[in-house]
Amino acid sequence: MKSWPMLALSAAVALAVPVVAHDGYIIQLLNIAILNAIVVLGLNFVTGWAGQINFGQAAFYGLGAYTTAITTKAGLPWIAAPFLSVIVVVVASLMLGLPTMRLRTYYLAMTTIGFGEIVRLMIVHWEPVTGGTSGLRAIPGVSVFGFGPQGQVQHYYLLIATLGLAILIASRIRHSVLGRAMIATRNSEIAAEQSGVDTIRTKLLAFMIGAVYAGLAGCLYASSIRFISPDSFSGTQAILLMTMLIVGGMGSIAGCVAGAVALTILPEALRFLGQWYLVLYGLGVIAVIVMAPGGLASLVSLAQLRRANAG
Amino acid sequence: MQGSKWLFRTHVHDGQLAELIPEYLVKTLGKTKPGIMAVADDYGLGASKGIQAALAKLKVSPAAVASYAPSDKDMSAQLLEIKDKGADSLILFGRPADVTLVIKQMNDLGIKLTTIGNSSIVAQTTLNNLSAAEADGGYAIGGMIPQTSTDAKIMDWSKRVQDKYKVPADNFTVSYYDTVYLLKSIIEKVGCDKAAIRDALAAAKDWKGMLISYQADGQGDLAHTLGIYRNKGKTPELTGPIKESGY
Amino acid sequence: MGQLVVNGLALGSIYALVALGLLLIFNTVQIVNFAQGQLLMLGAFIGISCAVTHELPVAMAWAITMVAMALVGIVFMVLVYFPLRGRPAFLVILTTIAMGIVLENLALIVWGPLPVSLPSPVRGPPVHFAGVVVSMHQIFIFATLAVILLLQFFFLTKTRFGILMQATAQDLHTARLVGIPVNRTIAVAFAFGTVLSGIAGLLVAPIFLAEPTMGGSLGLKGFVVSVIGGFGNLPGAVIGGLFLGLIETFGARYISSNFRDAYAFIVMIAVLVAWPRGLFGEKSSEKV
Repeated sequence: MKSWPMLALSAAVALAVPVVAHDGYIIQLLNIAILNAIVVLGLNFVTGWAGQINFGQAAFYGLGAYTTAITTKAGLPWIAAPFLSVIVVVVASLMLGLPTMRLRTYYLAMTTIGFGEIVRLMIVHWEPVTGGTSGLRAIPGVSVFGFGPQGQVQHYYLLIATLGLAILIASRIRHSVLGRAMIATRNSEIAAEQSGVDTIRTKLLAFMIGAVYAGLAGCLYASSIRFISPDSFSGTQAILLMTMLIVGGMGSIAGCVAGAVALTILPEALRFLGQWYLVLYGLGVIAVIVMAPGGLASLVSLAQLRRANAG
Repeated sequence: MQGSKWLFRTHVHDGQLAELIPEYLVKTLGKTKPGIMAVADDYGLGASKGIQAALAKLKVSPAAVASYAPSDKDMSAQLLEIKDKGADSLILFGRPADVTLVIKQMNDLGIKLTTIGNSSIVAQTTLNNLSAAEADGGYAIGGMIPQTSTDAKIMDWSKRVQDKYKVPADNFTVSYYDTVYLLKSIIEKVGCDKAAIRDALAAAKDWKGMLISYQADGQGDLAHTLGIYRNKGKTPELTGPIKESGY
Repeated sequence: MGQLVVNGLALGSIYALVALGLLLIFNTVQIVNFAQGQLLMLGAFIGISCAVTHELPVAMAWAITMVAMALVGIVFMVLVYFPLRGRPAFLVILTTIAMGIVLENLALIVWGPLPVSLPSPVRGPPVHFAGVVVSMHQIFIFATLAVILLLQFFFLTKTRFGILMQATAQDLHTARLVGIPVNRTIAVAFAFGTVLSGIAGLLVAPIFLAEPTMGGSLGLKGFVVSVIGGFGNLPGAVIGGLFLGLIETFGARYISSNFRDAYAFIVMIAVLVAWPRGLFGEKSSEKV
């Protein structure tokens, strides 16, 4: 149960950031971090709660972004983009989910990687529509009844609001029957089945919800960054999303956000390290897995526990 | 350039190669059934289209047109297709990493075709990874490279680039170097006003760079001299300069 | 068409070697090493350091590389296996992926991004045979695969230590209970598995050139092959590897060379849908 003061404080900090930081570059970086956080929240349903390893999340992110870019550039009103993105990713998640429901860990990992690769190859080679490796630029921005956010700061507030909504929904699901079914599935599929949980349906729903989160984030990504290319949605990105989840804390909503923000800002802050950043990043991930597999979230609750016991 | 008067280009571009390569292949080397192999991205496919158009103007049609993804390692399927369709030469357009593989695999498959392409065929990176037998005889048209110069200063500069950056100097390195010095000489003359710099660039005439001289045309292109190179074993030799028509 | 068969089998042999290395480790400790491709890359570069940078004879370069890779395998075991014993498979997967990232970027720092070639241990003009050209190196690849398969079969079934390794693979805890030096068998599995990848690297570099990012794609193909053959099944992996090599080569020639890398995954998904336990069946089952 989250504490209300912490929640209020985080919200206040989040809203105050653009007032304090005037650098457009930092705001843009945070915008990307917020988008990543939404995608990681989606991944959390599948991997954190339902326990299904999923390296295809970046593909759903990309499908949402490309659907939005293609349709808005083709002249459709922006409001259609989120709906179309959701439809595309739901269909894609079913295509990935249905054949793989019975697969176990390693096979599932391989299949989701394969799915991601196939989507990426399709994007790269369908040049007339997707712009191939050069990507798509000059994507129209968010526009509802002629109104849309202008400039990074307004986009920031829009994205913060979306993130807030995403967190709220995730929290609701977590405490619902579906959420409990997911956790039961993760802990032991066989036991869950015996207790009457339809694990197949649960896993599929987790996949779909996760994909929808990523698809909508992709839609916003295309409409706010206004330029997309296949590189942002590659297998490397899928791995990055997974590490954001782990570092932040698998299963913890706050962890997702923390992990996403941390691992979006870190490469920029540590740019001076050059190639060494990736080496340290890899070692850091291993260190987290070995020493604190619950990620940052577990460290926080450990600290809280210690404080509670000491007092 | 590209519709903007603020954009200039100081390196020879593929549009020129697309014209000159077919011209040299057909008129000087006398080949009439080329196979075309290009890397499948904007760079390679754009060039491939230009080359096909130029061939059409010369009334020559390619035996086969193939491409490969930038990260592909095995191009034997495409090479076999080109061989099966009876090509008498190969026009090869890619980057040193993949061009090396194409030439290697062509040799491994026992396919012998006169090969001509962009500067990747004579780039140091490519030649480092080919044997003398594999590299020998390949033609390239492209920006002038420093390795074939006999000027001691240029050879010394080339060596220093390799030592400092661990990669050999190539035609792009020369172009970047020249561009910086060209800008320097312009700024020294007209100061830092953006419009003045732009006008000076547009008026550039016969500015002597490391290997070629630069001259602005109506589209903002400043480089119009290319070199024809041929590999003798692992060493590229300058067969001669080739100028864009009208220069 | 015969040419496509030869090329496909040569390529497939390399995939088979990667898969064999992967499965040796998996069969013993139930870890899928997602850094297997990067180990291949390491083998290629160690070989290049010896043969090209230090100009040692190629045979010596091979010997040094194999010893070095065995040591790397042991280090890998210490860094990855021991700290993560008992942890959920998912975390182990991520750890090996992270190791792969570390290795790849260290290689970029040490050797730079440009591709480098490695001479083949065999020289000589290609062999012409029924309209097909087979290079000496391709013959060497087939020979190496055959030798390794024979040695492995012999070692695992006819020598005492090999039988102990099989026992450990079947049931680690019981093996320990009956006094089998389990840590030693695990170490040998890691060493052997890493050496196999190193050999694959030494075989790949002369045809495809070596560069630090070469590991990712080859590693993935190795996993795909293992899945197709049936995870844990060694002969299955070999057949799966050759099969994939042929499919990729024929697919690239007759369907589309652009989607070359996708064929592996498409075949894998198709096989999994039809035979969830792989073409030849898995070795292990899931504990409840």
